Amino acid sequence: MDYILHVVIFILIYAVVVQSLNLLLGYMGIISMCHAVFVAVGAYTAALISVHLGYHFLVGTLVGFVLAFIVGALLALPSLRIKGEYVIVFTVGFQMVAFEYMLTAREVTQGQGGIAGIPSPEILGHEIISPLGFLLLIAVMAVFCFAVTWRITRSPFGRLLKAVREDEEACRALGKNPLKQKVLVFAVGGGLAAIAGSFLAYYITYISPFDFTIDASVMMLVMVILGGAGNYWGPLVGAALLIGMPEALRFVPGAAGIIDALREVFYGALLVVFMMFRPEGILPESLEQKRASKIAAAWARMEEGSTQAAEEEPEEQPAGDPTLPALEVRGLSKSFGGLQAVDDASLVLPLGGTVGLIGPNGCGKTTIFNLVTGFLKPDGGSILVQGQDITNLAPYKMASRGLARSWQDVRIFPGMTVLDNVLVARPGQSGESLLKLFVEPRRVAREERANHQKALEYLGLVGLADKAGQLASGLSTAEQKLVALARLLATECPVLLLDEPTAALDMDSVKRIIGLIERIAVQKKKTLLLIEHNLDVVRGLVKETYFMSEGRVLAHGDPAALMKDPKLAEVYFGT
Amino acid sequence: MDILIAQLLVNGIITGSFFALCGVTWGIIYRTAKTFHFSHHLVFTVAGYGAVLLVGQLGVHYLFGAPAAVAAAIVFGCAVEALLYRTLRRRGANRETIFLSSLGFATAGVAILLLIFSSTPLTLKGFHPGVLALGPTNFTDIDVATVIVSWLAVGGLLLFLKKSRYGRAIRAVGVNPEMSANVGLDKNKMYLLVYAIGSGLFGLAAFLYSAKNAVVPTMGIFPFFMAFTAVFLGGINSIAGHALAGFILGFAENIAVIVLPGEYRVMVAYAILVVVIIFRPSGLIGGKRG
Repeated sequence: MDYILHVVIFILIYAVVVQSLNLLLGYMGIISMCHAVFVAVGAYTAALISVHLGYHFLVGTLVGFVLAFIVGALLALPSLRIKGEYVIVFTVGFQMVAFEYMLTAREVTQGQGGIAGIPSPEILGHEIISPLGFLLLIAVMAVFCFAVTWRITRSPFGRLLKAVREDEEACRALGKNPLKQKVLVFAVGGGLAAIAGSFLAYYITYISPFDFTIDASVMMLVMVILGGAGNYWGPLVGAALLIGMPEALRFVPGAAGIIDALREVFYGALLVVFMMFRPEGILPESLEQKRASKIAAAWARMEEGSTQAAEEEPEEQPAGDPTLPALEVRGLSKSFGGLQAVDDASLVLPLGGTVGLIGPNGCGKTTIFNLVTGFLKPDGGSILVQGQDITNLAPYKMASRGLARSWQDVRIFPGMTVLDNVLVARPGQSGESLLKLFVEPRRVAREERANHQKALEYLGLVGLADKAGQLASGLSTAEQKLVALARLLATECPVLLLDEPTAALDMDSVKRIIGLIERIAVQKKKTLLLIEHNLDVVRGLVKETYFMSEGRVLAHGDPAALMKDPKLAEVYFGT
Repeated sequence: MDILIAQLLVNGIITGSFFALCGVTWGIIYRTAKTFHFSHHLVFTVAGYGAVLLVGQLGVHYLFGAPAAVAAAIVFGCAVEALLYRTLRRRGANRETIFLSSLGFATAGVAILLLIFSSTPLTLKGFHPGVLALGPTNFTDIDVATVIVSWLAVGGLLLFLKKSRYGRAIRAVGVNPEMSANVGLDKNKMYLLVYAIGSGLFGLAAFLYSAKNAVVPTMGIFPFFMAFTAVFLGGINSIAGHALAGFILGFAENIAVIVLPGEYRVMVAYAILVVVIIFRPSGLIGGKRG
């Protein structure tokens, strides 16, 4: 019986460790080969504090958490600068340095002999020694840690993380700067692993560097992957499988002595088999998305009545000072190598106006968008929003200045629901702050309700409220463009830059989108700058357009009149 | 003290040469096949066992261990590529998936060797190192052989890549596999060739290593870690860079002992890697990321 309790305790400890690693791997897509180091930080801190200072076990756990939190945050900074396999190399290096440190810094860690005689935890004067008592204590710890990750992953914070994993640049264009969130995930992931580590130390009462080798890190990684990276319950399944199954071998005669080697054969072979046949793990992330879809669909049904009423009220005035242009571009230039992509281009976008930007392929229209929204740095010239200079501002700051853009290739978040796509774009979400998530839960919940309502309102406007619960990747191209429009509206920016909103669509969808853009301009009083290839679209929508060719603005005026100019027509249609 | 420094310099050259060889063996595979071939360390270990078992069982001269190690390494390395990686590629696996499968294979492989041979160290039978001296420093004949063989192998590989038809084909496949396919280069065949070369040379390194060190199931891990450290340190596109970075690693590891306590030796090599990745992710010596 005690033996079974022992196995369950181990499974719970590892479930917490693996859950914390899942934050990195599942939600950010980062392969970390050094997670055992965080467990070691927790275990060693707890052991040293309890052995040398005799403090209460919770003090050891807390200090371990704080230290690992800091180590995690420090490790995040280089890890976020590098990509893909460099992260693997970096984390292997860090793991090895940390392991060698544990072996050699004898004055701190007591070297390879390890630290023995770690006192058992005490609660209100009762020492906890029995396996059952330990199981209860560790179950409380595990529930606490699982609650924290639950809160993190099912919140605006978690939503933003997933969006970053799907398309970080698109997130920036929506006004999000996810650096803080990414660093915090490393920190929290490290901190939670350290909590589990401290309980490991208190339970075993002896730790040594050999508990925290790279093999241990690899095993944790395997647990996440087999369980299902990105699935909330995946880590629990992975830990139970990889701890429980080899333990069962103990009862096979002759196997007891080689259990560690058998375990390694077991998880190594499982990893190969899973990579071959089921790389998404036992509980794939798509199961989570099904759940998200159900929730979104429920929201949509709930809000159906109220959104329809709200939809019809037009805004009074465009936001801003009507005497200043919404956007002004003065003498903008950009060259790539020898190619002058944009050459001394100037344009003015009056507040509340809808202006077109047309020209043949490769004339520099999209480059202007990239320059205006900060994704490219201009060689010269300036960009003003309502008279204020925003040249060289970072892309994520543009939304707060009232400027948001769409992309020619849509760039919605394919692995998220339609509703979540729109929700991500909502400005000023306090739920994106980890602190507020836990300190001001009511405020976060209130905002979430309001944001859900707004998001569904915009989805209603584009006619997709009934698809709120579907995965964006499952929509048609036209529907994806509509989602992108709803997402753009959800930023509440008064100035919207639309990059070929009707490209690659059939006639019916084009008409639908044109009608929608008109409504956005009239009803929502948005200022629009429209890159278009389709002349009919431009003629129907705008009274004023700029005509570009080879990086220069050649002409400016009524599109119908411009097209009558034989020289421009020749440039446009070619000869 | 001066004697110590002279000895450390000599040790640095020996270790550095060995790591230089290790570096190019993984570098040519990584650069060409773009696979994070973690099982490379198992190739080293299999080669080591191949050498000691052949020499020990058949009672032949210990030098026969060298071809045995190289042959075992080539067969094993090519089998991993042909049976595991190629299958995964055909199933559309991405680079992370292939890396993870390689990690799993290597982990299981070491554990299986442990089950078969236990952790009892084996040695190359009939080999006794002869001690040589140069001024105040001491080293063995196998050390001299390591330095000479390592640089001959590195030089030969560089020459092969530059001058021979197959070498140029390997470089072409590494730079642009699609384009190479269009001019009639079979990607899978070229990959197999690269795995054969990388594994064979790593097998040669394993023979040199097992003449000096014990053969155990985990023997490949440290040389392999140093190999990929050298590759990322040298900048992934330059084979000469890998050799140079490997040499710097081995040299720095030994020289560090002048200022640090001896047990920090290994940590220094990894610390260099961590610091370089933080401050100069494209590698010390250069070459583009990608």
